Amino acid sequence: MSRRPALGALLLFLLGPAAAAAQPSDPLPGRLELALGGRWTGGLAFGEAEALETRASGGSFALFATDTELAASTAAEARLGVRLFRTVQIEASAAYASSDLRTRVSSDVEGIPDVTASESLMQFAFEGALLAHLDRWRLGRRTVPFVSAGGGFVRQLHEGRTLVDVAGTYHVGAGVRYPLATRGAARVKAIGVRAEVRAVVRIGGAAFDNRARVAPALGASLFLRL
Amino acid sequence: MSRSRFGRLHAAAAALLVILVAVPRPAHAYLKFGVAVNGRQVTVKWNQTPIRYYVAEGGVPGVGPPQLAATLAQAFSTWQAVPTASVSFEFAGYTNARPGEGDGRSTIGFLAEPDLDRVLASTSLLIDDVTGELLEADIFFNSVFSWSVAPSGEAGRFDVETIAVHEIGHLIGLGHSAIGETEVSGSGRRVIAAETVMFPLAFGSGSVTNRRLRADDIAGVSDLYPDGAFEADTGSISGRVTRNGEGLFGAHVVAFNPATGALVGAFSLNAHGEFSIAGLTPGAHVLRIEPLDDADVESFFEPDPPVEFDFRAVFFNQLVVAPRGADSGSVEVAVQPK
Repeated sequence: MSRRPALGALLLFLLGPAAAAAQPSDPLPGRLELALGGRWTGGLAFGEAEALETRASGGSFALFATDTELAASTAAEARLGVRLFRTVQIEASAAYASSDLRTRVSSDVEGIPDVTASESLMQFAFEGALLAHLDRWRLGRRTVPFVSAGGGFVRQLHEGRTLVDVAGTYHVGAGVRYPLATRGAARVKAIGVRAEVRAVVRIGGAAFDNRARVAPALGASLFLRL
Repeated sequence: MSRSRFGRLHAAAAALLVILVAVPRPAHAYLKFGVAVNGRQVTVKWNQTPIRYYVAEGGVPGVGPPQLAATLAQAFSTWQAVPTASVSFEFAGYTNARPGEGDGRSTIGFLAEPDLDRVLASTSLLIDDVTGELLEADIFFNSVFSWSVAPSGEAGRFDVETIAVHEIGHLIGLGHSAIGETEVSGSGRRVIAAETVMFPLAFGSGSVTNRRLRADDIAGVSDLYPDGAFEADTGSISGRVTRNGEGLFGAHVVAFNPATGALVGAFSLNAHGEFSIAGLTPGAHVLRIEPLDDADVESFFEPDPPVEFDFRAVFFNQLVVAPRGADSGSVEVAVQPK
């Protein structure tokens, strides 16, 4: 089989006209989707750095060592989705989280006890995403799996609101959507819940370099479809 | 115009570079020279650049006036090349005057000072004590030591360029910085490592490590002679060091930026224990606070008020953010008695 027919088959699968015919009904009616939820994102290691002085020979002399991380955080998230096709939706979301930037300071040359110095970081994330329902792989009659991918930016406001860093953020994820109720003729056509897992990639921001860092994320939300 | 001459002090410490009478200014990082005018501190600095200097005739074995002039030009260019500072220098010629004559000409050269057997070099400043303007700065290199201008240094000889870079720091108005570690060696101290050319003790002979400015030095010269967007692009951290609720004078506070690796230091400079570290790259910093115990305190401060030593070195348990173009707002670091 050539590659081109295979690609065409995949697109048809995602866009779903054939799948729609195979399923008894549309479990997620409506064109617009509003959602509120929460998302836990794992910590990001920003890396180790030593406070170095210079020896007479030009070599390094470590005064102390540091290891910095952005701690895991839980965000509140609002999301707007627009259905493009039966199984494809674009989404825009805004999320707020408070997290701690923590630096473990150790190995001081004069024996100062180790300490973890921290500051709080307010994070405002703005993202766009493309979501594809895997209608053919429904779990039972109503649970619809999906995959998603997207990106955006995160404004990170340091403690005291004196400094802002901006990080790029990208994700790929997968999850399920479960309609609690559907009323095809009503203004609110469906109410449901969504759960997903993501791999989040962050670049820059409060990190010490522009290396991409990956963290896991788990999300859950309640959605209305209009 | 009223003028006063800042005298020179020479303390008995091994390979001591220079000590100047410095009235610490309770405002910013490093240690900037200052004078008290009508009850307020005025920073000592040159008001006009380029700063013209003369090279004294006479030399030492291996370093004649032309070699000294060439090496000094290199040392001056090191400071002049700091992109965030606007200080410049100009070689005005040779002179038969000696350094320290107070003739209105900044003169640099060798002098034999056998009594100052632990002083490699010294800088004396002539200051307008009304405005704080620097009028003259003379540097002498003690010819009782062996000197070298070899590009890679020379074993058993002190590197003229290294020592000149330090002295020129004083010439432009910087005092000593304390970012360095020492150990007792015989009747003096030996430098293990430093991260500033303005540390008061020199590395041993042959070392050329301190020809290069570090973050602390760059912040210092840029703070004194800011250029371009330096003030808008950097931030400061200020606060107090306290023990049992009372301010401490003379505590050494170092800000470390894990993102850049830069170490920039300051002192608490008044009875309230207030400190300020300027010229920091915006971002979160670790603060390390320690007693001033790696060099003779007289190389930093006048004897009065007394510097406090009775406290344990600590790290502040908060990361402190230096904002861009602004100050962190005061943080209070409480230390414990030893």
